[in-house]
Amino acid sequence: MIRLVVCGLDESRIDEIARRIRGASVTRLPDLPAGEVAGVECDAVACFGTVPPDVRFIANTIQAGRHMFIATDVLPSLADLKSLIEQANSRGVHIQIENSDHGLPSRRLIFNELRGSKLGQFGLIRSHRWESTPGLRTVDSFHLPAPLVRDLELMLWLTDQTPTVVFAVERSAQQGDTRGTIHVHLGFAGGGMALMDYADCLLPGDGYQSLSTICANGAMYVDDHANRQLAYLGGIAQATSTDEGLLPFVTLIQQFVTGLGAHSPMESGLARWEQTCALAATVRQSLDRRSPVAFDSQVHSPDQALQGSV
Amino acid sequence: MNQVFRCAVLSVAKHDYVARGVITHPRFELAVVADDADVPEWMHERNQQFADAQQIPYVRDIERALRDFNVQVAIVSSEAERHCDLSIRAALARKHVIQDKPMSTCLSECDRLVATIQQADVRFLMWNRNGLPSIQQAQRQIAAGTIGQPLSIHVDFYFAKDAGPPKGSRQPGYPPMDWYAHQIASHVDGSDGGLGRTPMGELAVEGIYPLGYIQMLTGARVRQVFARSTAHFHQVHADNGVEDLASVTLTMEDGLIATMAIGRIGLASHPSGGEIKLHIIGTAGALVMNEARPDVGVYYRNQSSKEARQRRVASENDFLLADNFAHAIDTGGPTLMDAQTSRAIYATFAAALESARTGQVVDVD
Repeated sequence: MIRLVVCGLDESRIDEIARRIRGASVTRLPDLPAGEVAGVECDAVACFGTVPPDVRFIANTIQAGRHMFIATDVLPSLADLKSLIEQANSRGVHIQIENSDHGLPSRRLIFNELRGSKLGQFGLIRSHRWESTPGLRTVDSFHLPAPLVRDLELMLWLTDQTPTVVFAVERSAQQGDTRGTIHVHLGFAGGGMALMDYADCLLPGDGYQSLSTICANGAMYVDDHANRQLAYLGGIAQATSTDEGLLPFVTLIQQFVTGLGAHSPMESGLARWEQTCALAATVRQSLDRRSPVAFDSQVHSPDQALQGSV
Repeated sequence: MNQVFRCAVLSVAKHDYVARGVITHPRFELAVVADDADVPEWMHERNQQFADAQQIPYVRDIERALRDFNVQVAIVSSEAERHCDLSIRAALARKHVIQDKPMSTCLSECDRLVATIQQADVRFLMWNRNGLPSIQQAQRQIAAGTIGQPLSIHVDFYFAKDAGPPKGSRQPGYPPMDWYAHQIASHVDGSDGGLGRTPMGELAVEGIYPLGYIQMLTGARVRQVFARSTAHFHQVHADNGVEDLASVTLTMEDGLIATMAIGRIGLASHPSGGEIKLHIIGTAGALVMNEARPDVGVYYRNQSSKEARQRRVASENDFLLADNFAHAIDTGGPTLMDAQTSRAIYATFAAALESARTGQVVDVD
């Protein structure tokens, strides 16, 4: 039985997740000063939430011989991750970084259908993600909202292709406002394309997401517009979201735990994250130049992306 | 009692839905169907059938029809290459013009039409979908300031229809599919929106609808275009080098951002004709609108796959367009989609096609 401690989620959710995990005991990481993880009885640590775990905390966790799973909205910088994964490899522990959206049942269904034979080659993927709080910016130099970077990663994951061209435009909600909207247009070899819309300027309240995938033999649509229930409480009816519950966390944790239990080599996720960072750096270039930029993940290496870091 | 406008229908070679739409309004009536004498016989047959159904004459002389039947309005729904020419001839005869899309197959013809409409001082309406209930609702919300100043607008415009055999189905050694012959043959199921000798992709055939929404809802001019396109679904598009799927980014006046995803994506891709949606973000709110609402779900045993499961209801698009046109004639005022706007839309999708070809951002003339 693997002993897993979780941070970044509240205790009641962790309790509910624990009841659903096979092969591991799941508890909340106790509050402790950074670096004290060595004193915690556990085999692995899983981090969720918006902010990235402190780099010293990760390093100390590795030194203490604990595996780590990191699925925070903002990840540590790519340079830090590379160094930490090297440390983990030499220490014989496993670090895995993951986009928490991979756990969403809706996105997993789309991913699996794209890998199947029924829908055929994708032609166009369109995503919208609107939020009411300003998106935390990435640690890396491209300085984009972290949710948009996660969407870029999601696009690479779903398509299993890298784009060949990137065009991005942005607009502030008000003059001088950091909030606003960013639109990313991707072109892929063979004619595939993607349109990605991100906004962090909604009024306080619910956000909105949708993802449509148009393929040669069919299409898939997941849309908060459709996944709403109505409440009649006087006045204008309220449309309440039907979210995907705890399953995203349960799915990701179960995969991690099962992988650890199998004692077989596991992907760190670094390779795709490097590609994502390179793509994000290209989006930044396109925004700055106001023109399309050819994307070659070899040419736009993450190291190049980091060269521009402040 | 307001004047009833008598209409000459100048060809129904493509569709008759425009003429039928116009006469949903009691101030319009059809007086005559007309076409040039030298058009192919199959066009004469379609024109004659429509005239017979409407119990009005069919004459093989357009100028005579415009002169001798006391008409005030011409309704043009020929193949695309003749759209502007027929409209110009009607305008020169001082008739107001309602025209089917696309405006033309070349920009110089659009310019000639704009100039003629202006000189003749007649009204022009490009038939469109801006009167659909959902689009009207979006317009009311924006006009009322509900979402503040629009920052970005995104339109999905997918037609879940087939256009002949799927891409990749042509056997080795077989000749490429002929565009014109395919369009003529497609008339039976109404999928001949690209009727003409010049092959046209979805941007040309249907782009006017989403671009019309963007134009009406924002009132802003398009400055620059970046686009990607491909023939992803249908052999006839692949064989003729035109797109059945495209994505377009528009940068507009006042920094407004707009995007459009458009495609003829195959019957199997949606149970009710296609996902058509608008996403609009403003400074004080946002809208997500489904163009197909309101609708009614209808399902039954042995239902044809071509029959929409969700059927649109309560649309007054035809009446509202005709009403707007009647008002424009009465007052000399603007129409919902006049010649200049139609020309601007043509220039936008022409720029999108150039961008898709060159990979560059293209300025819109």
